[in-house]
Amino acid sequence: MKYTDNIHLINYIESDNIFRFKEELLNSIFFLKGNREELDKVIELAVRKSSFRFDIHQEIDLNQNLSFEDKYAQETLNMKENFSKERLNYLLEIYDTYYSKKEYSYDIPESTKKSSNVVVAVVVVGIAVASLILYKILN
Amino acid sequence: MKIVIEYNPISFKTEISSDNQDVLNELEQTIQDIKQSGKRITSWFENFITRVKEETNQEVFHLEVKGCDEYEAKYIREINGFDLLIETISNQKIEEKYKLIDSFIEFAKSSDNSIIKNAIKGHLKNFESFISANVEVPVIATMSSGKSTLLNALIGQNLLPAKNKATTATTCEIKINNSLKNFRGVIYKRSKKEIAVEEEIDGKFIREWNGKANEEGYEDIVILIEGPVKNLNTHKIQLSLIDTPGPNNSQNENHKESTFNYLKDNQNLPIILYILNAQQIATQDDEETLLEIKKAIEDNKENLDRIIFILNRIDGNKVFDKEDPEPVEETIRDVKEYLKKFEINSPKIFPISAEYAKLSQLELDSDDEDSIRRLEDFRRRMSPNGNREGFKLLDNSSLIESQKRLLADIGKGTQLNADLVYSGLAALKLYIEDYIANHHLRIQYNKLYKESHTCSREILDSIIFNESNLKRDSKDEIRKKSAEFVSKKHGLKVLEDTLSKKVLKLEINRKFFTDESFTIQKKKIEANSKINQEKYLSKEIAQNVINELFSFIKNAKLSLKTTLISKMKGEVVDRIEKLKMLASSLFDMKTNNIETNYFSSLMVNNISSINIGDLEQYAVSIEVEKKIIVPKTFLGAETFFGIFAFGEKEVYIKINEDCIDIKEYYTNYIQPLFMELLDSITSFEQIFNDEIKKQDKYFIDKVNSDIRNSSKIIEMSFNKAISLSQSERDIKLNELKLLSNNLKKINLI
Repeated sequence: MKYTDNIHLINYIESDNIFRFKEELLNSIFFLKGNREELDKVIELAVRKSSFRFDIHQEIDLNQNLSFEDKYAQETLNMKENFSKERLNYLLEIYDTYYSKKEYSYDIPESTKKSSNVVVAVVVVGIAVASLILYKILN
Repeated sequence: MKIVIEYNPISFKTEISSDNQDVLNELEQTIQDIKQSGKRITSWFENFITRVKEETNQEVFHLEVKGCDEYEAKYIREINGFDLLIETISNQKIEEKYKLIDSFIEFAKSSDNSIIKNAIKGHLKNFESFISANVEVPVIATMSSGKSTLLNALIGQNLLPAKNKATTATTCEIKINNSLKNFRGVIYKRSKKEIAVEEEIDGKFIREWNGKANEEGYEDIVILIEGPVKNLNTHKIQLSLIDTPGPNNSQNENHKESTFNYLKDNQNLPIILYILNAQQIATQDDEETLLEIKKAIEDNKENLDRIIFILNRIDGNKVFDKEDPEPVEETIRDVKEYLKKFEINSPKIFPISAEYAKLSQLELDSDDEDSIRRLEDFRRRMSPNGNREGFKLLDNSSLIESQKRLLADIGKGTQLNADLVYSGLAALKLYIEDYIANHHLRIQYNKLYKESHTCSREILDSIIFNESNLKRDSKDEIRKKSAEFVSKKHGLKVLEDTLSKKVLKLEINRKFFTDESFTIQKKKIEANSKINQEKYLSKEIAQNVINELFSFIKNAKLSLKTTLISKMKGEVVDRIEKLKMLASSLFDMKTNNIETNYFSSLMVNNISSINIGDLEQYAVSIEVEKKIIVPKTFLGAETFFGIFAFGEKEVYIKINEDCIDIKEYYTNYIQPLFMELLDSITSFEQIFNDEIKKQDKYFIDKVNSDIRNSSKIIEMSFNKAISLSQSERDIKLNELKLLSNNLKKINLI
């Protein structure tokens, strides 16, 4: 994915809606799957085309005993107070460490499992076709 | 040479000056004595003129007298030997001054002012004594000097027992009351308790009670007789002659003590009548008595000048000697010489024949041949008759010339008048009348003036002292109140300055916002992470994912509407309680009126309803390679195993599947909802913060307003206290000033 695929990002830069741009930039970490190159591009574009600037980093206490998910959530909230490059990098680190490796499974109810039905149907059709061919051969 | 006497007829203050310094130097001591004596001009003028004449070798000089009254002027004019210029002060003007003194005394006596009350305490007795319209004239005599006879002569009746022995056993008060027709008698004890009253008395009444006075139980009785006395005008003054027991009465030592105690207790007596026996001058009794009198009244030496010496029994053998009669002048000269022993240098002497005077006034019975004969004898011997010059008692009495001339004229009238003049009684009566009319009032007011002056001086000193105290107290009070005021104001200013800081320091719990944001953020990230894993999801899966997210968002919105707002309200209420506690900890202040409107319904409606977008818009048909499991036969396993090749195997087939662009859908629909949720929380927090600020501001404004009000109240009460104190002080100072002015008017006399 490229940053240009996120039309909202571009719109927010162009409309100089920095608040929304920042939110969308954080969302884009997932959208761009932590692609720093793309993120740098969009940041560079924002700096160039909008009033967006990183804040000077300020330490905000963060409980290191928290899970990655909690740390990530907390830091995104902290970004509202201090949208610093360092904090963004930290989020990206967490993304690389945790989210990039996380796999989600979609729990689909049995009745709605399309692929199984297809298999059963194919098997039934196959058995039927095989039975027909076997009958012709035997004849 | 010119001598100027500046005199004040009320204070008797005298200044004497002259253009002849030599004479002035010679008279220095005399002038000094006059000034120090504070006596009326009539009591020293003649002696002064004599001294001037001595110093000027009898040369005629020019005398200016300024300020004396009409009576004094008349007296001065009778003395010769100088060219005189007198400037008198009218009696009317003097009366005005007397009224001022009266008003001061009246004012001082009735004043509620503590200064005056305190000041007058020590003067009240003297004021009452001086101001009294009662004039008591004690009559003192040694035994056998004819006191009772003289008193009988003075009242013109034979009421007092007259025998050649100590007849007076107790004090007899003879009150002259010309409104009565007869003499009445009252016997009372010194406790003023009346024990006997008789409306018309004769000689028997006094004789009886006088006798009783020597009896046990009656030692302290006083005999009062009251009635008319002819030819004695007392000028509305209540004149009483006090007949004291003879001080040389050997029968009763108490009599002596009684007489001198009377003199001691009545230092302000205007005059004292002392009766000398012309036939026995310079007796031991007289010497002792006069020394005792002097001793009794020595506190006030001028009283010695007020002793009127009655030279009784002038008709006695010594001057009556047919062969070699001693002129009255000689007898008087002897008396004057004798009295010098007692420092009485200018005695007033009245030669009298009390017996003659008495007899002439009595209505004698024709049977009382002895009395008739004696009266005739007195008339023949003592009055000028034919070639005889008589006894010339009038010429030798201490009257001024005009008075003598007046009496001489009167003596030419009726027999009684002649008898009274030639017996010498008329001169004595005239002196008493004159004294009461022209001296007593002057001396009375002179004393009142001096007493008032001293009293007013004390009051003025006290006023000055009180004024300075008032000013000092006021300054102290203002200083103290100012310090309190400044301290209170400063305290309030500090409170005002620090209040905002104290309010800001009050903790605000905002954790529920971050908790809520955190929960939503976490869910959003999870969704973001999950959604961005796959771009497309089958419709069913997408629907599930979306349903789950919408369910979360719906619940989150509900939570915001209920839990979050409830927590916000709770926190605001807590905040108000904290503010109230802060207020009560700072000062006593009513804070019940600090309330909140909580949050507006607008905030509750801040969350829009969830709009689930049309999922079909994001449906796409995607060719997907699907893994399927098929029987092995079906998949060609029979090539190797024939019909017996049973079992399953995975087969990948490409099929077109209806999918949802979940990433796009998420971006367009779900992510905005998350953001809206988070925005709502931010918005709520903002509203909450605004509300807290509003409450804080309301509280601070309220407290500061109360502080300013308190400050104003303190300032007002301070100003009021100061102005009240100032006004009280002003009132008191004004009172003192007014008082001071009133007093100064009298001091200006």
